[in-house]
Amino acid sequence: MKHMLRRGALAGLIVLAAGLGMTVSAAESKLPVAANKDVIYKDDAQCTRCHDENEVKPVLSIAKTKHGVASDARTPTCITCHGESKAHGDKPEEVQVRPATDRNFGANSKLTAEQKSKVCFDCHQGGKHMNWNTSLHAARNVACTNCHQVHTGHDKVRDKRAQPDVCYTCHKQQRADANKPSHHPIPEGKMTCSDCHNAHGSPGPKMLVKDTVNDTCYLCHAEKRGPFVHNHQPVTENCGNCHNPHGTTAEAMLKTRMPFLCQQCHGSSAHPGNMAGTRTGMPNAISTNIGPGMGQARACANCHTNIHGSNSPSNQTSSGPARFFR
Amino acid sequence: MTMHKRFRQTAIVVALSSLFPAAVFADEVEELTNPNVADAAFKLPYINQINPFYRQYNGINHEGVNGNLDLDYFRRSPDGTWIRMNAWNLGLSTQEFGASVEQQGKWAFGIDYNQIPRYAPYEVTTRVQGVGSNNIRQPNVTSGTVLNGVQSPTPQQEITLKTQRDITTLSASAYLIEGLKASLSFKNENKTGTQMYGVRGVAGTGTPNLYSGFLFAPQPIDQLHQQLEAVLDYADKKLQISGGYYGSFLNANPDSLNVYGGTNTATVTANLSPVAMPPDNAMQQLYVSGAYNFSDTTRGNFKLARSEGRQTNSFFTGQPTQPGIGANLEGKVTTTEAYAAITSRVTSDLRLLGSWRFEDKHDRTPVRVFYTDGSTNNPESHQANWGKLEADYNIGAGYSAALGVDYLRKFSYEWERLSVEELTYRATFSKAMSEMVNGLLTLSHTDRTGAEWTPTKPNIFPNYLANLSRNKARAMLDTSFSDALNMQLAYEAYFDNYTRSDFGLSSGQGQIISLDGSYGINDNWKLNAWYSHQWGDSLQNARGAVCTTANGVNCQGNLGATSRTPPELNEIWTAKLAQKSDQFGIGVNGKIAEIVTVGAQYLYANDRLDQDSGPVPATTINGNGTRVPVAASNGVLPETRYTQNTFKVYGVYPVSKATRIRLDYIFDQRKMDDYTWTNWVYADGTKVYVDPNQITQIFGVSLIQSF
Repeated sequence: MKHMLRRGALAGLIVLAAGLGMTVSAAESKLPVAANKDVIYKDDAQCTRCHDENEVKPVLSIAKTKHGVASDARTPTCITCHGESKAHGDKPEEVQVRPATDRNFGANSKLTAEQKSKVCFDCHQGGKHMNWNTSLHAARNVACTNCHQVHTGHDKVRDKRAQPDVCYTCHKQQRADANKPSHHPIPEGKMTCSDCHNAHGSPGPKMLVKDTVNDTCYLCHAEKRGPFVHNHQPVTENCGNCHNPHGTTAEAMLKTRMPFLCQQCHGSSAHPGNMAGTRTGMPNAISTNIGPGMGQARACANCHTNIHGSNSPSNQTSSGPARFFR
Repeated sequence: MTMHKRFRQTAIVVALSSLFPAAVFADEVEELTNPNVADAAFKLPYINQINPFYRQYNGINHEGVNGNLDLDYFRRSPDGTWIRMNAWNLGLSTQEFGASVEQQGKWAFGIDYNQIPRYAPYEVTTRVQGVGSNNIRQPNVTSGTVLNGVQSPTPQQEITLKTQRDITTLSASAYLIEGLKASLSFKNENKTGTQMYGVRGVAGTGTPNLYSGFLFAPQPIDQLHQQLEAVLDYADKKLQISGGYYGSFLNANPDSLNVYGGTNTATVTANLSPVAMPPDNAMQQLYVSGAYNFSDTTRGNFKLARSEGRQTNSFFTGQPTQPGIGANLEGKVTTTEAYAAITSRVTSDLRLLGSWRFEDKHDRTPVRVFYTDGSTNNPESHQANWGKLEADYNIGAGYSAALGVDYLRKFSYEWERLSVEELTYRATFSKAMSEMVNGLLTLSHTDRTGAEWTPTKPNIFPNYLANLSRNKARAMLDTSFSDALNMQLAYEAYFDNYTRSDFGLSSGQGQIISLDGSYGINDNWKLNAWYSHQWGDSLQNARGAVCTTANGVNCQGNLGATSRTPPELNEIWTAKLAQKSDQFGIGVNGKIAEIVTVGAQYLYANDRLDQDSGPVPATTINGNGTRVPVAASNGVLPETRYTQNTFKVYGVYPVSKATRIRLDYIFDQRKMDDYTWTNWVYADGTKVYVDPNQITQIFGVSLIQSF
């Protein structure tokens, strides 16, 4: 059955490709645009007479974006972003290579990242872009156009499912972590980088959307916020003390497996410092043998089940809520 | 391919073409500039087998055909009014849909719905009753029927642990006057389901100690999280300012979990049940943030925020309590955040940045005696200051150098040391604006010190408070060999050394090296590939007991460190945790005969984890104070491995200008070799199974129609 389906799928594709191509025919091209006809903006004909979709640098699809809404008085024109560019538009005959526009943003641009971004920030300097100037991206010479595609109706970085690939261009560690067995649903397209980070800068750490790591996590995990009757200090301090939100090989995105994770702080206090092994003859008692087996299943959390904090009012000190047992 | 089959294929296409006539734009320029889209994709993926790792977030828990629908509808009118309606995976548990109307530059309204499932990455068989409720009933099992992982009799039910988030977001915004925008968003999130959870049983007797160990008690979840944010944004050329309100309100049910023992067995340890579940809580915040351009080259930023968190969930009943604890915790946490920054390009080549951030988190929850021994609840408060100075100098020819200093001081009366200070020095050297080679190298060094520990030799050394020396490096090299070929080499590393803590984390390091490449074969075909190698390890010290008998039986004679007097009688041992990861990805996209769009992707990931403990002593002192041999293999945790192989291929054929057919094939394999659940059996007989080799194949056919 599997082979049949596989062969059938392949055959279908080949047949559709080879046998039915004649059903699609390209319409007679009406490009280039007439030299005196504006397409998007007032006076854009001086640009679009050359920069149609047959050109190396096609521009017409900017009309599909919010920048292409001529009825909005705030929208720019070609000149707003690229400058008058007279030498570019009126190339003297004796010049072989057409000079670049006054401001261009491609790989060969002579503008610094800051100069490129300034063009955008002339309009986009408020709201969520407010802290761009203090961001690590700005400090590391990232320009808006390194991530955004201005001239396309589909800007990858603004597409939830395509965005991570843009971020992975620089953030390899996060790409590797996201492919580990325990991760946030980023590869599956249900979350994306900007759910937690504001790539345009923020007052908080790591360009997070909230002022602290914990407040960012509480956007989805508010049940960990408390305060509880019995708080666990590393939890209230920083979720990142125990979790790597980009992904790990341990369940629940723990940085290290228990009991080793817990022993990083509780290396000597009471039984937590015991040497872990794996036990084969389960089930067994727990009272005198904590050690072997405390690396299995939920490990330390087998007993300390409310490790994020307990709101139990119980007065039972033995195995009590202060130790997150109940 | 026979003529008969070809005829049938052709006939299908002709039929489809007549059924879905092409929507043709008036002319080619119109097509290139008009954003209007009305597409529907009817998808029929056939899943041959459900596997826990694949379904974990993909949400597909049904073998066979899982029909679903994607919709994309955009309309823009000449006056700049946008209408959006879209849907993704409609009909599946990962479904999303949304709609919005916007008069660009004037107002906007939107609604979005997102469903996020999360399945446990394993299968559970159990006789525990009441799964999904907050009344968990352990089965009636006669002593001796659960032995070495086998339960007799064995009537078990298979259950699926799953949570689901249903998130609805309403948003609205309007420009009140030029530059002044008011925005409102409301997010309503329901999280329901059941997730892995368990409680400690009681130390019992018998062979084995039935109901003595750990009891499977899955946690029921029924939470409603509502978030409201209202913001006023003002922006002009000089000043940008935002002021807002944010409120987060969680209603979490149930507030406790009851675990009942079965008949003829011991129940859970006295008063362990009911167990606390997360309480309702709320947080509200007022904030104002802004930026001001003092000149073309100097800009200042600030933020002030004040929030108050409350937790007043009524205490659940069923536990003995102390008098005077009140009806609820009366939890109250106030937090003040302040931030100021300035950046200035003091010369054309020199840019300076300075910033300061302050946080005062004050847990004002009343302190009351909760325990019979006089112990109280433990509110956690802290203050913190962060400072940053950075100078970035443009050397010329695209080269620049940056030097920076980061400062952190945190303070808390609740910590094992009153305060810690961190100082980081950073240097970055970069090359930009080159057509051929661009790159960046950043080196940093951090030192963390702090006040004296309290007591001088505490039993707990929180690693986030411990003295630390950290070196970090980050390097990236981008090379464009031609317009078609680009390569990128990246390296990141950290090296940590913890001092002053006798036990706990001692050192650690992690490194990753990646090579990425993309190649445009021609106008139609593009190829990209990447490889990452990641490795790291950490060393930590511990002091505790070692089992004196074999792993297969109880360590009856072994006691925890608290019972050892003096504690130095315990063994001092070291754990070295080493991780390695290799990942490889390759993708190709192109067109066949200028018509059929095709693409393929392959991902390989392999993670290995070694956890070496040692030295394992030959003998140790048991609970009776007698030195006895340590059984072989104690203290040994096996290596774990995880491997993923995922291959995806698709092809899209345009039957007509308005109709496309897409075929997909996905092969997904996950191999897991992990000791975590392998030999584990709960005292109630519950077993958790991780299939070591999970293969899922998906065959999909989709009809994409433009209207």
